[in-house]
Formats: sequence, C-alpha cells, structure tokens
Amino acid sequence: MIAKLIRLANRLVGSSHKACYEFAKAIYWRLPKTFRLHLMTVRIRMVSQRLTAGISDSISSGGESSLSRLASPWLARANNSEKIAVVSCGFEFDELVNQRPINAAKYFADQGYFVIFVAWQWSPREKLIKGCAEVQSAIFQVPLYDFLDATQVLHTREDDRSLFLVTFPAIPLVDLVRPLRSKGLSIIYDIMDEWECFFKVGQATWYDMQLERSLVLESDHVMAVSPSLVDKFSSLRNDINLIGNGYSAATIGPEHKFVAKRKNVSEHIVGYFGHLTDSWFNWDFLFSAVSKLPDVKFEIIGYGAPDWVFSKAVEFPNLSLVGKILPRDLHTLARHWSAALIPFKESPLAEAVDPIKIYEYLYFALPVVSTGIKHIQHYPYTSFATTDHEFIFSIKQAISCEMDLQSLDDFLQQTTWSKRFSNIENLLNSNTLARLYAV
Amino acid sequence: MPFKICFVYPWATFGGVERILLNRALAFKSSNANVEISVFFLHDSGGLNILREAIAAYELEGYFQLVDSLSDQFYDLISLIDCPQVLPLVRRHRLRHVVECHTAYCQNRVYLKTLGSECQAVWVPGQRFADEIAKELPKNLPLRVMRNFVPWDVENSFVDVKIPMTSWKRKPLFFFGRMDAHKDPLALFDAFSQMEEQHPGRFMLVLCGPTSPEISIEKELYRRKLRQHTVILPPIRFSRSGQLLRTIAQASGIFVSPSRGESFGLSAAEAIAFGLPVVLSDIDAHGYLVDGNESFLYPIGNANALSEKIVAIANDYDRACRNLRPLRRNFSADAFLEDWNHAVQCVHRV
Repeated sequence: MIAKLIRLANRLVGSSHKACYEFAKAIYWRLPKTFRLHLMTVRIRMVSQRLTAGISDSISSGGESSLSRLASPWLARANNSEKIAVVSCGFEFDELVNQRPINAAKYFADQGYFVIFVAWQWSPREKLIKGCAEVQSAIFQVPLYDFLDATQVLHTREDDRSLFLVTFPAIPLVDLVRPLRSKGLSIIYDIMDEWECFFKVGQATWYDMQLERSLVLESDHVMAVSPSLVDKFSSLRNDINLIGNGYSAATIGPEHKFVAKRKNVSEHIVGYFGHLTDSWFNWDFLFSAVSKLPDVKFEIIGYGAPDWVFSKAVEFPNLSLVGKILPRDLHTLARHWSAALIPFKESPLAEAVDPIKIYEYLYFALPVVSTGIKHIQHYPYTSFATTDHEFIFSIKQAISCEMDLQSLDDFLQQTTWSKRFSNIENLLNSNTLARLYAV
Repeated sequence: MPFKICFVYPWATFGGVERILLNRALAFKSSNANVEISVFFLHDSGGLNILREAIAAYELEGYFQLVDSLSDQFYDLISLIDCPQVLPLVRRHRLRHVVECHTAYCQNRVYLKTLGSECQAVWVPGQRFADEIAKELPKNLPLRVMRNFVPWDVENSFVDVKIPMTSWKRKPLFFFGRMDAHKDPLALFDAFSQMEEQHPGRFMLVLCGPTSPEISIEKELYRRKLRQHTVILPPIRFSRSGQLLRTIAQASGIFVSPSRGESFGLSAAEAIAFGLPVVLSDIDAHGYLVDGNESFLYPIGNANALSEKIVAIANDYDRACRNLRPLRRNFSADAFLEDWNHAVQCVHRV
C-alpha cells in the first residue's frame, strides 16, 4: 500500500496543480475520521486557495472571455427577456433530480421567466458535462465563471420581477449580489441547509460565517427550509420566511401517487432511501429495530454506508441493503412498503433539514417514522421518536396505521414545488431596497 | 428673455456636483425662475447617462440641457466649476464668467491664485468654506456664497415612488458617499468595533457609494470581524437618494460622516433634510450644517468620541430628530434662490 502511494506521488511530481489537488482529495476521504478532523484546517486552506485561484484566473483571462460572451446566446436572450431569474446551484441541471434549485428553475421558467441556471465550478477550467446550453425550454445552464464574466453586460432591468436566488453563501455567489442588485434584480437568499454545521464536519469548505450573515442582512428577502434555520438568523431580521421543501408529481410520476396505500399483506416492509453516512444516519436505532422486529423486513436504499454496517448487516436476515436505485425507480420498491423511515441522529444539522424524501414518502402514501428532525412531526402521518424504544413503538404503529388519503391529499396539494415557489414569487410584491435600483 | 447660464465641469461622474446642478434646476423650476441651465462636461466618466435619467425622472428637460460646446449659443454667464483648464478659452473669447469652487481637496484649488480681473467672482457653497479659501484668492476678486442646498421644500419633485421597508433588527449606521481615504469610512469601522464590544447586537453598518482603490472595504471589514454586521449597497441614482435616506430614517438609523474635508457636506445635508439624525466629523462645513451643535459633532480621529456620540443619539433618538429638523431651513431651495438672485444682480452690475 505504502509503495503504491509513493509510486503515485512520484508520478504526480511535475504534474499539474489540479492533479495534485485531486490526489490529495482522494487520499483525504480515505483516511479514518480522526485523521480527517486533524487535517481539516489544511484541507480548508487548500480548498480556499483553489477557489480564490479560480476567481483570479477568471478575471485575468478577461480578453478571451469577453469575445466569447459577446456571442453568448443566453446573454442576448436575458437582455431581451421581460423578466429573468438567476438561480445558483451546486451542481448541473438535471430535470429528473428532485432538488430545490432545479425545481425553482423549472417553476420560474413556467412562470414566463428566462432562467439563468448558474452551475457551480471550482475553477474556470473545470468543464461541466452540459456546458453552457439551454437545458430545458427557457432554462439556460451557464457555468459560474462564464456568468461572473458577463454580469457587467447584463442590462439593467426595467421590470420589478427579476431576481437572483442565492442558494448557498459561497464567495463567488455573494460577490454577485452587488452587481446584480445594481442591475435591478431582487436578491433572495434561500437558506437550504445548516451550512455552518456542514463546514464544522469538513463539508461546505467554502463556508464563511461572516459572509452568510452579511448575505442575510443584504438580501431583499430571506427564506429558510426549517424553523431552526429561521431561528438561527432571527437576531438579524424579523421577516425570514419559512418555506419548506416540496415535490413534483411530474418528477415522481403521477401514476405513482399513493402506490403504497394500505393493502392486506402477510409481511410488512419498512424502507428508507437517501444517504447512509453514519455522520447523520442513526444506525444504532435501525439495528435495534431490526433485531427487535424480526417479522418486519427493512429495505435500506442508498449509498455511503460505512464498512462496519455491511459487516453487521449480514447478521440480520430481515435487513436488506439495496444499494443505489435511480430516483425514477424508487416507486418499484416503495409500493410494497408499509412505512418509511427518516432515522437521523439528533444534531443541529439534522434539525435544520426539511427532508425532501418525506414529501416523496407521503406521496406514495407511506406513514413516516423520524428521529433527529423534530419539526416534521407536525406533518401528517409522521411520528417522531427520541429513543430506540420509541422508534420501535412508532414503527409498529406506523405499519398498522390507517390513512385518510383525502386529508393527506390536502397536505400534498399545499406542498408542491409550485406552491412553495409561488410563495417566493409573492415576496416580490413587497417594497424593498431592490426598488431603488430597477429603472 | 431667460437668463442663460452654462456650467462647465471636467467630468461627468456620479458625484456631488451633478447633484448640485440638478438641485438648482429643481429650485428654478419650482419658483418659475426665468433661468435656463446648460451643462458642459469635458469628459464623460460614466455619469452622463445617469444624469440624463435623473433629468427625465425629475422632468427637468425645459430647465436643464447637456451641451458639448460653449460656442453653439450665447450665454449670459459661464460658470467654471473646479475647471481651470477652460480658463484660457473663456479669456481668449472674452466670455463673461465666474469660477465656482467646490473642492475640499487643497491641491486642486491652487489655480485660484492665478485668477485675473476678467473673472467676475468666485462662488463657494458656504460661508465657512468662503472663510477658509479667502486667503487663497487674489486681492479684490469678489468672493460670494452660493449656498448648496437640498430641495426638501420642493416636495413634489422629490417624491416618486414608495419608500422601501427594511426588516433589520439592529439600528443602521449609514455611510453615504465615496469610500475613499478622504471620506474616511475606516474611522466609522473603528468606532463600530468599539460599539459592538460595548453594545453587542445593537447596531449595524449600511454603506452605500462607489468604492475606491485606496481602501479595500471588504478586507477592512473582515479584519475587524465586521463584515457580518454590514450591508454594502452599490451606488444609487441621484433621483433615489431621498428614498434611501428616508428608508434609513424609517429604520431609526443614524447618518455618520467621518469626512476629513467638505466644501458643503451634501450627503449630510440631505440626511438632515430627510429627518435622519447625524454624527459628523467636526470640520467647518459640518459645523455649519448643524449650527455648531456639539451633540452632532465629534473630533476627527477620535473613535471613542464618535462611538459615544452615536450611542447618545441612539439613546435619545426622538430628541435628536427634533433638534435637527429646524436646521434644514439653512439649506432649503429658498435659501439658495436668495443667494442666486443676489449673485446674479452683482454680475449684471459689473
């Protein structure tokens, strides 16, 4: 192993910074957690350097970019559009992925906006698979650095509906706030996650607490997906809107609505889909339930489970670690389930989440048992447990629960992505600092 | 026949002189004065379009025109605003002219010493500034005050759309102007650092204006751990400054100017006119605006004094508003028209 590493290191001598960075990144994530924590400061410094280098590179390569941006079809369309929505996102556009920024982009396109979907890049040299292209009608994916380069030539808006939706407070996105405000766009910060907590566990390496707080103050409108995130920033302003996540029937499949509604079954299956890292998935609770409910089958879909979980799982014939399933195929398993789980560890990070999966579970007509995320206990057919005993008790109750599909449907009508984002669009009716800048 | 005057200024920027010229046109319009203003900028430094927008927004087309030559029409008077490079031209063509001096930067007014008797007068924006520069002028050259002002008494022209609301929980301390060494925003940052220690969570900063290469605002804020308490707004149009000031007033904000020198202090005057309490560096121009009231002044360079004055005003906010309100009469459109009529009569007599 050591010899292999040395050979690899030798090959990297003289190779590009990018290769070195990728090498360090690969090694880092293979280290035990304790080592990772020790090396976190070094890691954050490396990531910051890479990010800052990206911005400088973009600025210094202005000549070539200027030429290409003049020919940018998205820029001409933006400048000729009645209203535009700039939506930032940490990944590329994929219409089948049920993520909040993607659904926001779809919503605003449906409302007649020309949407500039700004896809994250770590550096200007990073190539995106979909590049700079129209990815859906009226939605143009623009790589971050292309967009940064073009903001100066965006026209000042003459409407009062155009907006910039900031979906995470990374430096290049916060830096866009002032130029886009001066162009007459309303600034909306959508607090989707507890970024500070992610940063503390080694994720979201771009995070800067000062920057996020300044963004909360500078935005025309701020919304958060969970009550704990509203509370976190309530000392700064008193108008933070709670706007949870949602679902889209078109993405899940209209024909799959209520596919798991109560049926007479001899064997109950309880399931989960999502990430399986032991940083937040409560494997202790799950194994406790698996061992104490031998007549119930547990199907766990997803990736990221630590090795010890696989070793232990073989001891339980009623536990199946299914692996990855494409989002569009989840219904094929979920339709046979009697209840669904969200077994997260208690932490500020979990409490700040409004899990998208709960809307999908309820759409399939699955009662939900959750841990770690207290606020979702107010959702229909959702129970909240704090101990493994309560967890097991709640699972037993859930699998025998009778659902009133009409009342469930009322909830689902109010929680579509369209409903959620129409709330955001309504915010634009109020009079904010943005009014000082539009023509 | 209207009295035709052409103002000449080196650059069309985003600055105070353009604002002053707009205000004059507003005053002439509101009083139906028979005056036509032309303005000739030697260079457009990005401000011309913004000025055109403001002329349209205030509906001043009949009173205010932009020209690109001095020879296209006859002018009763030409006013060269801090623009010595045009002096040879007006001398050569024997054009009747005055010189207006608005600059607080000493090195930019050295040319005043070279003015000859063909110059009808030097106009300055306030009495204290007149006292300051009197010694810089040749003897016997008339020095007249043409007060700067804020046309708050021309109400109709000053209100266009609704005042934006803010939802900040802290009291905003408002810096409005170019963020350069002369205007000295860093003095406010230093005072704010102290205040955040002594009164955590009570105040925030709102900065609005063009940045300058002299100061890296972001870096200075980060260094003091103040970025998290700060809103930085890009520069706004002339016609929107009143709205912004009233927005800050509605949020119970306080206007702060640590400027090291001003010929008049237009932003501070606007703040007072719109009911915003002020804390100003103790320079002559600021002293004039607040009639020497020390509650609103602090000694330059004294961060302690600045923070104490801010806290004192915040603690008795309503009284500060009440005390300042009557002072705006000193810089109303009426006050300017009085100066104008007197100055123009003097020019005619020559």
